[in-house]
Amino acid sequence: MALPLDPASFGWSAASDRELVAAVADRRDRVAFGELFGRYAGRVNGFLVKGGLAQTLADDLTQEILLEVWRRADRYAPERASVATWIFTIARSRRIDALRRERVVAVEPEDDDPAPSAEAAIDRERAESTLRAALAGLPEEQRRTLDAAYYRGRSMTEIAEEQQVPVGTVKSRVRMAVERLRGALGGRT
Amino acid sequence: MTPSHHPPDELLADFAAGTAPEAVALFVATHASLCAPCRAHLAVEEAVAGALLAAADAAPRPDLLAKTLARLDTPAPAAEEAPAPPDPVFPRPLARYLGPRPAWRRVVPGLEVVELPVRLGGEPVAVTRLAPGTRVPSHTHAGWELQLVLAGGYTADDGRFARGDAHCADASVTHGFRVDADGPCVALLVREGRIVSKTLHGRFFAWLTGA
Repeated sequence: MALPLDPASFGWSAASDRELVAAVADRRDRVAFGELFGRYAGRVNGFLVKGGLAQTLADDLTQEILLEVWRRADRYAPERASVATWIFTIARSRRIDALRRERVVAVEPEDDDPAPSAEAAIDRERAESTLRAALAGLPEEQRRTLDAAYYRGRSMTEIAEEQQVPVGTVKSRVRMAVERLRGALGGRT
Repeated sequence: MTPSHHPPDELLADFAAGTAPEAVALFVATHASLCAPCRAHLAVEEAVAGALLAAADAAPRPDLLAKTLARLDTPAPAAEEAPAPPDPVFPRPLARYLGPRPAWRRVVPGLEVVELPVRLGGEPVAVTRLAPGTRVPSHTHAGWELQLVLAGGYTADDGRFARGDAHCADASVTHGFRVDADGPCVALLVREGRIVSKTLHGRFFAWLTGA
């Protein structure tokens, strides 16, 4: 992917996540990788520790997850998901493997989804900033519940205990919050 | 053809968050492999999870960068599992568990099963094959009963179920169903607890109830 402006000329800190991944995929750019690492390694580490892993194991896995980002940058599809979502799915697999020693099961579509259009990548970037703003604007108990479910990996029962509410309330909060955020993505992914 | 019946939202949410037990993850992934709307639903939840990751309040770890940079040139670990050859009945996530020659076992006339090496609680996940016209008597459940039709179909009180349809019932549901007359019905069955028989069809339920 050719970039109209070379972010290296004004510093990678101004580049988008997608530009960083593209630089890693196209040119094996270690400085761009370092910038991406700076943005995500701490958050991935937090995801692992809050999910229940010991700090030392989380530190090792953080490196492995970012290594996988380096190795598989050429397989990242910008029109399908944000870089953050892509990194989340890599980290999710590692957390399942480390926490439960279980096989990680992936969806393998039988029928191909229609190929996203060229505009889809631009639509998606716009939708993602809307999503992030909508997330920040959620009622506090919905945001806390989503964070517990998807970032900290707590079960509905655990969240109910933490929040001192019935499990049904937790399920409703997740459902309502996801529905609200789905609207921010324009109803299609 | 898009399935008409889908897993409940909470199972999709658990799968997207990575907190579903393996048996439930297998069920959701197998259904979603046949269902574009559920894949879209999962993608929305993954986008939410990605946004939460990007917004998380966590201290950067620059101390880990040098170690990671030193490993960039190390060779990647062994290649991923080769994709299973396509099968008309078993979507790939399930085919990986079954292997090339599933060992069907006849439990009672009309019911054959293959048990998988994955359990939910005490119960093994299984693939069942019911003979055409079989009537499964009315029953309820001690926990979740998740049934995904892979071939053939049946009619239950709560509708008609064919390939790709996820039929999910918990302790609040009592149901029975009848397999179509024109062919056997193959389904993926995940049970959280014992099935509770409402009738005296003891032998039929011997395997299902673990008697």
